[in-house]
Amino acid sequence: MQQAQDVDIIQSVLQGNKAAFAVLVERYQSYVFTIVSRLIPVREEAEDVSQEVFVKAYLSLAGFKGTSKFSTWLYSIAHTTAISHLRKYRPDVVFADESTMAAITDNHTTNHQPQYNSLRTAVNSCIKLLPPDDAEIITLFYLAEQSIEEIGIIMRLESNTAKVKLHRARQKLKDIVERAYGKEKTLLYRN
Amino acid sequence: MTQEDKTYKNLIDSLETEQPSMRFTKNVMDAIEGMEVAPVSKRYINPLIIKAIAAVLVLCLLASLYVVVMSADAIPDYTSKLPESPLTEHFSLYIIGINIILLMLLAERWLSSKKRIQDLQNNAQE
Repeated sequence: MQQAQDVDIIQSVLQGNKAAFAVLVERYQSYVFTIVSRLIPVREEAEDVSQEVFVKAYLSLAGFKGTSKFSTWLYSIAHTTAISHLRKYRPDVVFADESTMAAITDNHTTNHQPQYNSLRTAVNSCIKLLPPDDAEIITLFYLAEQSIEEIGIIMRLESNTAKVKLHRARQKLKDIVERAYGKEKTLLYRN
Repeated sequence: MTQEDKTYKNLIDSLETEQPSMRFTKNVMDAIEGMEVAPVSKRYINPLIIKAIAAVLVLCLLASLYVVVMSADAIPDYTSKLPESPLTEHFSLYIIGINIILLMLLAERWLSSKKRIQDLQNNAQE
């Protein structure tokens, strides 16, 4: 249903109704912004890059063949644009390996002693402590509702690799939240 | 559902998207003001031509296989030289020539796609 609506809007934009593009921007802005934010944590920068994503999507809209979901196509642009931005403006940024990231997380949760009022706050803060690609894959799967195959297309990974990566990322998130929020409270939490 | 699954479900249900500024849509619409959707670039080589070339190659391979099989003796005599057949000789030349042309087309296609990817990356960085 959603897919059909997207296609209708795209057709309308391609026929010259530029204003219809605003509907797509409204619909996907929070997802694109979240995906970009996972890779570029500085809010202003992430917002600029997200805008660039939509501009690129608009310019190459005629190239969208409909062989995948529009969201998958859009998130691919978001992923590549964010990576290109990091390479261009922050070439010194290197994604930490797992052991380094674990040490950073330990240090953060031990020294800062975060006191989260709710699991919701804890999870949404702790996801930022994950390595960027892990945070991105969780966002794509659980928030943006992309399948493993679609995540493979977006992040240019084999499906099996994406599946393993998602499993590990989820485990890491759980560990971080339990350390920061408390294992017992996490288990008892009910939405 | 196990306790582990429940924990994961709790975590995942707690995830929320981040919200950009209120002016986000307006900023995007302002940015695309005066821009037009870029037309789709045509493919460098028509897919039909590629299919035709592939068909010719397969036919050549089948023909050469046929010639080899038909010219072979039931019990090969390894002590004597193979008979010189002008047809076989010409066939080999044709096949080599076609393969060279195909290789050149392949190389040209690979180089043009490489250039296109380079251009896209440059555009993405601008």
